[in-house]
Amino acid sequence: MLSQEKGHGEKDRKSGQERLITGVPRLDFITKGGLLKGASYAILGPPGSGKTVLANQIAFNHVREGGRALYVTLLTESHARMLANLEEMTFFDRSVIPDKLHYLSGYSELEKEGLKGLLDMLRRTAQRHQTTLLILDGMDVAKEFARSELSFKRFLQDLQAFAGILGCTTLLLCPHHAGEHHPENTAVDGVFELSLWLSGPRAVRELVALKFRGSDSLLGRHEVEISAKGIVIHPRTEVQFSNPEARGREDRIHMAFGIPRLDDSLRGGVLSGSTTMLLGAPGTGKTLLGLHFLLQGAREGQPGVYFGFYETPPRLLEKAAGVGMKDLKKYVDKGLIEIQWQPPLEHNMDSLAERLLERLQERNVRRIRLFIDGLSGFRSAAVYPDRMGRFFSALSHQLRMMDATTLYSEETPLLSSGVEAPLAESAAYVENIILLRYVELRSQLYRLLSIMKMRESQYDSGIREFSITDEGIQVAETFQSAENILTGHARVRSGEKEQAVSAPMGTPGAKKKAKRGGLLRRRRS
Amino acid sequence: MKTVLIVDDELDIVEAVKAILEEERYKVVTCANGREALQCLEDSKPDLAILDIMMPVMNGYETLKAIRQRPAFEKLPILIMSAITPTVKAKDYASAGFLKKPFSLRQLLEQVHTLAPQDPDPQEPR
Repeated sequence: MLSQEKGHGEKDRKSGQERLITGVPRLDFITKGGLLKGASYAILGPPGSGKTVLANQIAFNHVREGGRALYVTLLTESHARMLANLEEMTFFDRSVIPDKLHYLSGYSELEKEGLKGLLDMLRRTAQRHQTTLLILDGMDVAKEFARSELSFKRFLQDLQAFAGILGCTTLLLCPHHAGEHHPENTAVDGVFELSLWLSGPRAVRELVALKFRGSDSLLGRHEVEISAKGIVIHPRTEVQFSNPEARGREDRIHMAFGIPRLDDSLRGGVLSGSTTMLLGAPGTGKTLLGLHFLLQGAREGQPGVYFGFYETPPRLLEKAAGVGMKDLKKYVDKGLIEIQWQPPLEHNMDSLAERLLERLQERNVRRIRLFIDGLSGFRSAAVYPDRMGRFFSALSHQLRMMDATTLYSEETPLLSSGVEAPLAESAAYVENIILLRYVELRSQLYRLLSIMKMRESQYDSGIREFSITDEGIQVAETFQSAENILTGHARVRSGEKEQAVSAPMGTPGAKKKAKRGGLLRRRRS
Repeated sequence: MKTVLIVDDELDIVEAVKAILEEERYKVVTCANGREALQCLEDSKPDLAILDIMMPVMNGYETLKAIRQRPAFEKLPILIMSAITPTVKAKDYASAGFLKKPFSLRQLLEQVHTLAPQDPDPQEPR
């Protein structure tokens, strides 16, 4: 976990206010330390959005840390059914019920005595039970018994005043439908709205932090998952690192690919802590170039992480072995290179970033090399495509701060004469761009490589031909072949015959020609 | 059963403190300002008065002074309860204690139990 979540009931160092740590993954990160003790919060959401799970998860976590919780329902589902649904969750612990976590129905008091009767019952029970967390589930029903909005607000104010003296944090759960007005939102100290909606065929759960009084917080929309662990929140990556450190490591070194001519062009390699985009159409060799980078790092003793979406680890190792990178498996087995394969499921973009950053933090090593194979994996997990630029900028910056030297592979269209990155602003947040492309000429496909951008370092901007051989990626010694390919014919110098363009590097035709050339040179000598 | 008079214009606080003290077996009488408090003093004969400072009609200092001028209530324990720390004037009028808002249940009960200790409950086993 990247966020610094504190223990239960810890005091906020800045404000001196005591906090109730919810223990819900990353909710305490959003609230910058937990709910305020004695404060009240509204949890809104349509049926099925996870209000009950969230409130129970907070309650079980709270009692585990020594608190006492009271869960009062008002004509919601029966306690037996609620507990049966919760039983599968990992936070559930039957042994704390009813002594530490008490479930009550407040409906009969409400029906007999109205809001006053309910308030009296809550006060009495909470004081006797020494409650430190009160959950009132079904605020819509309580509202039905209010004579007016004003009397409902009065009920809330009385409840809050009492809970405040008791030091009891209150959660008010209320169903919510679009456009609905909730008078409790003005009275409470914080409002969290859970939502459930469809983005294409995909169900998206979100938590919107709308209000949080008394402390700084990460307001806004954050994606939510409900699993056997209960609710897990994934804060937006760009707000998690909205105040990033300005500087990374100063003793930066060049990180080579282990491909002689490419490393020469890069003046020894890309700078450590930088981000490099490998831009190219499918099949141009981006994955192999990235694997070269990890492998060269491992040979130099630098750890590496492959974070990819499309190739399973065995398939990836097989592919690498087929082009002369047999020792990749050796370094993977040793643990120096780690393959983090993300199975083809419906991912959450921020959850992917968390997984990656947490893993790097766990490894806690210097000079780590990272290859993210397929930015499109992140893109397809995005519910809000307009976030992509800010997301990658924040992720790249955070990786830089972790001293990771990152390569992203990014696909350009397969059949396009121009170079179009799917994410136009990408050029701004990466330091280096290496372009791999196909050029079709006289029924032959040639591969060309060029360095489009390299910040803070000199580089050769010339275009070179390259090939994928049994010994890995080979880059042409000179720019000549690339020039021949791009112009479509050899440059005619005075007194020389026009030359035909050679077959692509690494192909049988090119090998034969290279052999003939060698014989000729030997005869001349 | 001991009687506590609560004088405060903030009704939610009055109601909350009343509920808590009733649960602790105190009889509670409530008033929204000093003038009301002086009127009900003779009838309720409290064992303890909990007095807010900032109130309409008659503020806490004026109320305290007026209570002390009545011989029957010269020694009545008075607990000042306010969001502001009382000035030296409150001490001059011999208040028995001070409870700064917001206060906790423990702080409230400690003061109340000290200033108006309950007689032992005859029904409670010894």
